[in-house]
Amino acid sequence: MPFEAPEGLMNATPDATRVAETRRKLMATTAPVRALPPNAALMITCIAVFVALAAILAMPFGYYGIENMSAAGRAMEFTVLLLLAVTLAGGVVEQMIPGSQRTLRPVVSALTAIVLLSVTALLLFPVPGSGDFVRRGLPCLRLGLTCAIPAAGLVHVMMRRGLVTDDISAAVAGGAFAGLLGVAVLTLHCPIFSSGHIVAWHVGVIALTSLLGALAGWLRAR
Amino acid sequence: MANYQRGDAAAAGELVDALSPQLFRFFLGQVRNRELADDLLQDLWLRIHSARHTYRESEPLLPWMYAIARRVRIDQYRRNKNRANRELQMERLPDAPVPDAEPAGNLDFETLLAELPESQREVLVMLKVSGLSVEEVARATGCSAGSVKQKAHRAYEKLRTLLKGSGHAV
Repeated sequence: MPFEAPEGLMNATPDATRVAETRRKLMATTAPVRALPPNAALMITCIAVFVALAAILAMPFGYYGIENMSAAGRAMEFTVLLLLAVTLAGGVVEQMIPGSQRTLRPVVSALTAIVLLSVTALLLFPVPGSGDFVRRGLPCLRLGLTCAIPAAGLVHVMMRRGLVTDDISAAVAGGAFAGLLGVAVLTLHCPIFSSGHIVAWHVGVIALTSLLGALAGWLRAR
Repeated sequence: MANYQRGDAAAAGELVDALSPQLFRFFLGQVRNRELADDLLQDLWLRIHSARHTYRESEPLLPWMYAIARRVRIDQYRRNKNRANRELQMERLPDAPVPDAEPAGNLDFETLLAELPESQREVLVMLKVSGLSVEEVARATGCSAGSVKQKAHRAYEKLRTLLKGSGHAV
């Protein structure tokens, strides 16, 4: 190896009195705890809650989107959503367990979700846009963001069960996952099948929630 | 660790005895102040105690501990930074902890280490002082193994340049 640390540092030892004091404190308060379940179990829980919450939140507004979509469109759209839910849920779980193996950085996961959902929209709905782009789009953005709030709350509660070691990454991961739930609700509800509308007002929800997550994480980390 | 989770107090004591020196060196390698390193070590054990349910037997122990140690170190850095910002308005700043004159018996090494950026120093200390593998450092820091290797390589390059500059044999 090109470098070796000096012996002085390698042989340094902590203050024995302080270590003994710490040992005493820990031993006096040691009680059995139940370890968190494996990552796979946590991910499955996350995805189950995601699916249930999306269905429940879309119910009052009606499932017009899924009803008017072709069978192939449904299969493609919901496969992509499920794949992204698995990826982003994995990111959330990784962030709440210290020292767990990181598969994708949360920012990369969020960008992947944005690109993949946009490409899916462009492939499924070649019509770029319709009239009243902003007037018809704003309610979708509002609904998506509103639905992301309870999801963000649940992610926050779940993350508190673990120990977050990187505030910003954790907040981006949580924000992206919550945003995906907003997109899922919009996919179930919104009957406007134009790629421009979907990319700007549906997929835009993930971009906004990820950014809001990054901002919240940065404020917490200061 | 598993026994500690099951509430075995003796296992907790054994863990503290066995791993404290290694974790202390990790802190000392970064803060260069024995007293502060002792404080951080104590803080770390308390944090580990409250988060011990997040460890799973199937996962490696050291990356889990070092990820928490890293967090403790970052929190201490932020606390110091915030305190310094608040105290700027005071007429005279209180004495901040200064690095020990020769904390680990080799001033040159300490000085050289201090020249490295935080992220490179952290990786170097984990690899060379704590003896973690590249994979373990990657898990502890939340980076990829490639990124760890790159940081270590840059740290070696910088140390080599500094040693050349000071007239030491490389």
